[in-house]
Amino acid sequence: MNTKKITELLVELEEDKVYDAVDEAIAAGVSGREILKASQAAMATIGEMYKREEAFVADMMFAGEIMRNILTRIQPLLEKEGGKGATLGKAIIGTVKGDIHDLGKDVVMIALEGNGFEVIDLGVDVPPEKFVEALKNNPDAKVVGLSVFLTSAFPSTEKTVKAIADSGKRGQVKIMVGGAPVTEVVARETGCDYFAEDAAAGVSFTRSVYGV
Amino acid sequence: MAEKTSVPGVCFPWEEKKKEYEEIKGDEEIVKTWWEQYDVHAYVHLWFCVIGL
Amino acid sequence: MAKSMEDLYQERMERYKKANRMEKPDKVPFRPFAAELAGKVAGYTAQQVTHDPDLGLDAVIKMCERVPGIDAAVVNMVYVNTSVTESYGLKYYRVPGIQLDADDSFQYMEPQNDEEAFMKVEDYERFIEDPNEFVMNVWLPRTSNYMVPPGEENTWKNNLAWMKNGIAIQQYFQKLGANVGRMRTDTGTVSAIAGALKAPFDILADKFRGFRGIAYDIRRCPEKVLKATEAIAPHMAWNCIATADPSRNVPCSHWMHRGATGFFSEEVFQKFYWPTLKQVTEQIWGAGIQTIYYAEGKWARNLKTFRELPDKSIIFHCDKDDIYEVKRVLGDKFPISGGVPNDMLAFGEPADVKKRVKQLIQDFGPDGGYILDAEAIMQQDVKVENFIAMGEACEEYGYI
Repeated sequence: MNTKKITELLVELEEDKVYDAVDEAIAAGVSGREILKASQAAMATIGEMYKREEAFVADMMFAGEIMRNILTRIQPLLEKEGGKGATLGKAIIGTVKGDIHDLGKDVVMIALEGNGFEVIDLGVDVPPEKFVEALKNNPDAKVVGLSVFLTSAFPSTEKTVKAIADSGKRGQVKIMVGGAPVTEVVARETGCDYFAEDAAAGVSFTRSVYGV
Repeated sequence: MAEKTSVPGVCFPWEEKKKEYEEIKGDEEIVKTWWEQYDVHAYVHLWFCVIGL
Repeated sequence: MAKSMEDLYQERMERYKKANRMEKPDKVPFRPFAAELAGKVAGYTAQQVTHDPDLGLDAVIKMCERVPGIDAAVVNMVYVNTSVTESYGLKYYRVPGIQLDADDSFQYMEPQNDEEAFMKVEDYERFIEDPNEFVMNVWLPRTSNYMVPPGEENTWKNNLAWMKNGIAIQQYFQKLGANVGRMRTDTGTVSAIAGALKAPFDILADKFRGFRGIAYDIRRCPEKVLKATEAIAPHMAWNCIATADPSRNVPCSHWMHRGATGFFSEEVFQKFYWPTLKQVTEQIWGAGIQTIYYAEGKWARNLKTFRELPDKSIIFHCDKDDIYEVKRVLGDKFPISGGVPNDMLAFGEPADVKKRVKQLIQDFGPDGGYILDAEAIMQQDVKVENFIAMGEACEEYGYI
């Protein structure tokens, strides 16, 4: 069975129809990994549309919601197949200490996962030492993403970068920063490597770090 | 609180309150004015919780 | 003879009114929207200005005394006082000094899913039928740790919560009023805004369904979303007008949120956000009140749409948009505020700030209808010396 239909319906955010297509594919014996691949292709397309301002944060969130429901449907198959298969790389993301906004972070997470990356989500109000600890536990992670919504959390962004440097892990990773008030100036002044203007830019940067 | 009060500025309408009195022996206007005075404050207060907090 | 505080106040009021009405004032008014920054100027922590109403309001008075050239200020730009919200167990704020460090800003915790949302997807009909009833009987109890909805077993904490909610808010407003008076008599500064508006779609998205909820609802039950915005619109207008400046000297404020570019498509904006916002703005203007469109984020896509509003009915505050583009598109119809980047205020030097202010005044001052402010609300990341430089530059170059 052709999984192209799943990709197309997910791009169009046709929720009920995409679930039907997934159920049909499962019934026809398509593997969980194939269905996952088709769904990820749709997420990548939505990410591209986002870059062109043809899709928006609300669409990304809704696509993420549909994706979660697809994953629930194919979970038993994936378990039998030994998991989701290889990923393109790993990124650690979180909203910096003193800031509990999660929307931007979640959109980046949806975009990265949709593009085939593994994401370690540290949540919100994340103290610098938690980023350091996550880097120790995930020595293969090459990208750290800092989400900042409050201008008052700029100092905490700087502290996070410094803590990573002090731990000796700075050479291991590239740090990107994004969020409503963030600019090139903020990225530079806080010691980050890259200002991710939106989720799509975050994906492009992560791809470039991994050379994929 | 009236069962249904979708009108802005009113929580417990005077018309409904008035039914609770068998009669108003003195000046009804005084009773009505001050009933509505507190009722409109309750309304603004209620929506302040939504808009302002 | 030195000017009295009242003379100074009248002079500043005249200036502020003229700029808001697109006339040319004697000087470009400086109307900084400073929140936790006021505390930093006064030497208070974020916890002190957020949780202690006396210190929070006092900070603004001190700011008006210490920063030169402020024409109009907001006495409660730290708009939530968390001692008030804690008094009745409000759930959705993280409070500096409690869950957050004493120097962090208070923050709203948005519902993550339908289970946490203060309005569930199945509540739409009830909400649409009677928003008053829903807010009182469903929404308030769900947002409080103590309040109990009708029909459930009552508790002493519930009784106390309703009482304290009433007392705390009432007391806070008394203090607010007193400090607006103090700002006038002690510092000659105008209280910049009175009355608050939220777009019906924003209030639904922020406080009732959450962003995630509304993002799903516009796909799954669009007609209900639309009806809900229509049901809430009359209440938004009524409350704004009721709490606005009775003398109609100063505008009301509209904190704009999810209509910004990036969150939703233009189609969603035109269908769900704009019709009721337009209706409410016109109704408020009909009552003689201007609205500050505090356009958080980027709104370039919608600038032309705002032209549908009556001349001078709004003051457009520019955040992330290019203020020159905003001036080009809206400058003939509406006054404009903003222009000093927050990253410059946080990381730049006073000389940078002065240069920027001088440029803004040169470019926008001569036409009138320009009010000096930062791009976004100023928090504790702003350097005090940069804030002072803003005021000094406005005094130095602002007389046009």
